[in-house]
Amino acid sequence: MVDRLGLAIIRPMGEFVDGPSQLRFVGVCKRFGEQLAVADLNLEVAPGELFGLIGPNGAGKTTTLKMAVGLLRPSAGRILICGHDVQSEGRESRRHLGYVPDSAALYDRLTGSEMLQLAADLQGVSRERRRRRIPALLEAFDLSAVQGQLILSYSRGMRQKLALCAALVHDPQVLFLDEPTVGLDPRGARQLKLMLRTLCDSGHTVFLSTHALEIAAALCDRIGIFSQGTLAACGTVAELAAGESRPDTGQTGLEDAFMAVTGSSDDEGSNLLAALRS
Amino acid sequence: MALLRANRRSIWNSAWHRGGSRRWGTVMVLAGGGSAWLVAIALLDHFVGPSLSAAPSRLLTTVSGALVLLTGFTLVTSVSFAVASAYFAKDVDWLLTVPLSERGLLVHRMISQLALGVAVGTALLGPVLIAAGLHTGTLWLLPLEVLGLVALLAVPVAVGLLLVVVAVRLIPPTRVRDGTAALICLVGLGMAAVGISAHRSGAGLPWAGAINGLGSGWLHTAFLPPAWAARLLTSAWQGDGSGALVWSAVLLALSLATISVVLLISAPLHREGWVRAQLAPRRRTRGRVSWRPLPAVLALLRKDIRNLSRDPVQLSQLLLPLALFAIYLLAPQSIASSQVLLRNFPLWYGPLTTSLFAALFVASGLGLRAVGSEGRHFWCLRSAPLGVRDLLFGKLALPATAATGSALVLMWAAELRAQVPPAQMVFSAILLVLAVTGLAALATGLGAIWPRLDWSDPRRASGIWLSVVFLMLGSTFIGACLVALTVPLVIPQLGTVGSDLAAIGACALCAALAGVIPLRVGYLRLLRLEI
Repeated sequence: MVDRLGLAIIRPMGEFVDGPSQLRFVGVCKRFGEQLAVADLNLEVAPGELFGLIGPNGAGKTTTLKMAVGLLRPSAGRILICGHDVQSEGRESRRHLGYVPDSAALYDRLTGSEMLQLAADLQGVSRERRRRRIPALLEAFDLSAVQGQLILSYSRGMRQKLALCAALVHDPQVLFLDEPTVGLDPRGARQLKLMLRTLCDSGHTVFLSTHALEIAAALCDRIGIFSQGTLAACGTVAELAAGESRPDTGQTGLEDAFMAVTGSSDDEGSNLLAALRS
Repeated sequence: MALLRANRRSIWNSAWHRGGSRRWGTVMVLAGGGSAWLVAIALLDHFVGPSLSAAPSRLLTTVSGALVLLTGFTLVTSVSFAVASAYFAKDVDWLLTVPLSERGLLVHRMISQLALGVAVGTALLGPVLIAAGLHTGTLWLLPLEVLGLVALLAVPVAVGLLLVVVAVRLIPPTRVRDGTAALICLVGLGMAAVGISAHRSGAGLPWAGAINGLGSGWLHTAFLPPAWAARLLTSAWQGDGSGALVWSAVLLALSLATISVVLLISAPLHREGWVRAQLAPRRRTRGRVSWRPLPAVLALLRKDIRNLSRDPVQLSQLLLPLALFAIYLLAPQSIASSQVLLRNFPLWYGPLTTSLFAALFVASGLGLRAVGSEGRHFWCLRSAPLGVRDLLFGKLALPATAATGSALVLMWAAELRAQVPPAQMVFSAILLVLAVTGLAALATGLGAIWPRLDWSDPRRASGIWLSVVFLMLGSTFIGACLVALTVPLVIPQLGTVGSDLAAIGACALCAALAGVIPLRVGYLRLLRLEI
């Protein structure tokens, strides 16, 4: 089966691998001083599911991802990855996850393959497995030719691909991606989509945040719309578009649902026009 | 002007609008600095008086020599600053796309460096000039002196920029930057070597020796701008306002002419060099990668070694103090003078003390910035299944190894020259390893307590104040170690073996106290750290 983007799909969207959820947020809150960045987030992501988080700038998407990978501590609530609490069983939970931040900073004075070796060492990947997996990942993302060069000579897209390879080197159960397509050329973006779909088809869970609604719509099994720190709507694209998860909106299409949920209005367009004409 | 206004605003915001603690820190620094400045003026008044009453020609020669050094130092640092600000600053890309002329961009860079130099000069030279003005009653001529000195220093700043712009047309800016680091290293090393040799041979400070040798030669004639500035200062101190005015006008004219010529030549070359730098291929490939898995601590150590060995600027910063200590320890007269000074101590005592201070600088360069050098890459480690304890040990490994290794080499070389018996060499090596491990742990722990993770450049990983605090604590630790290990050696009742074991125990106790506490606090800090 091939979807409308031409990506190979082994099973229909929405049918997930059986088993307990690989990612759970239970009453998660995050405060920065007086500001409530994430409020009472309750969410489960099943094995094999590709979950997309969308929302305006500053809505709390990156904060949510950072809490999930242990870079930030929740002010309240728990996050479980493959059954392990991110806070109390930090090391064990991090064995099961891969993370690619927005504009990932990598060690400039290592080469691409040395960076992957470091990631493999930190994750405890065996010799045989890394001998097989690192060249395969480099080949898949067209980085084989530059693997011996220092990362400081890499373009932004190449860095993004390398960060993805580093996140995948230990074959994590849950993959967190913050704006994964930023900086990627169309070929790289397509490779990424194909790879994510394949990962989910083999039972892995992918949790990504993006501003690109068309990517979220085409790729994600379920989408959560974040607004002002709360998960304002959640469902499949069809559900969101049909307004099933927010019956009051009456909007059609993901973009309209997004605009309705995040409180955007047509006034913004006229304000922009006025600013440009000023 | 808009760029300068933005710079001023960003400095103000960073000092005042980044939270209460930063604001409090700024007030403390300003209050402390201001007090130190006033105290320095009062103290210098006692020293400046006799110097100013020296013969005019001698005064002129001394001031000329000092200004030659200052100008040379400014030239060397301006090369480094120019390559960073004109080619590697993050705003260059954007500024080249807005309707700002290359000339405007380069003028902004020059003024920025000059402003930084004026700030440093005000802090360091200000008390001297004010004390001299107070002593001679010519404080009203201070503005002319400042104008002349700023004009003098604008010349090397402009020349440094020109050298960089021309060099980047020929070789990539990364090589210019690395070459500059080596140049600074060599200049510093050369000056120190001359200074130590001259000092050991009784000739006094290097420039004093050189100046005395030249007598009334070319150095304070009117051929060199520093000599013009020296004449400006001596005229001002003698109350000769018209003379001071003439010399400051001459210096101002010279600096304006130099800046104009530099801008004329470098403005068209800058954009070409920048474009060429963007297009230059950087195809430096490295050798084959070993597939052998490493424990996380060793993987971190390997990563840090690779990072350090491939960064010439960091490497030169590390090697320079070591080279200076090597020259100090191995200079021809060092053993004799050390033996005279420490005649009641064991033969290894002098080499051990000097090597410990060499290790202090290595620990400062590597340990203090060990955690902070992760900077924006810290997410790689924090999102991996790596415990904070492993992280700290991995970060301690490089400074401990490098500081111990280099200090051992220095000490053994000096001990071999001093013909220290092998048994005593082993004993002193044990003491050194213990003390240096404590130093490295102290540095790594302090760096973990106050890590600066908002940089992508490892050289900015530790702030100047943290370095000062560490150097003070580290020196105190070395002093405590030396006292603690000396006490058992002078108690005859302990016997040779007993006193040796007691000295090792005392040294180990000092090292444990100095290292474990900051590492523990740093561990707790990293556990709570959010990025």
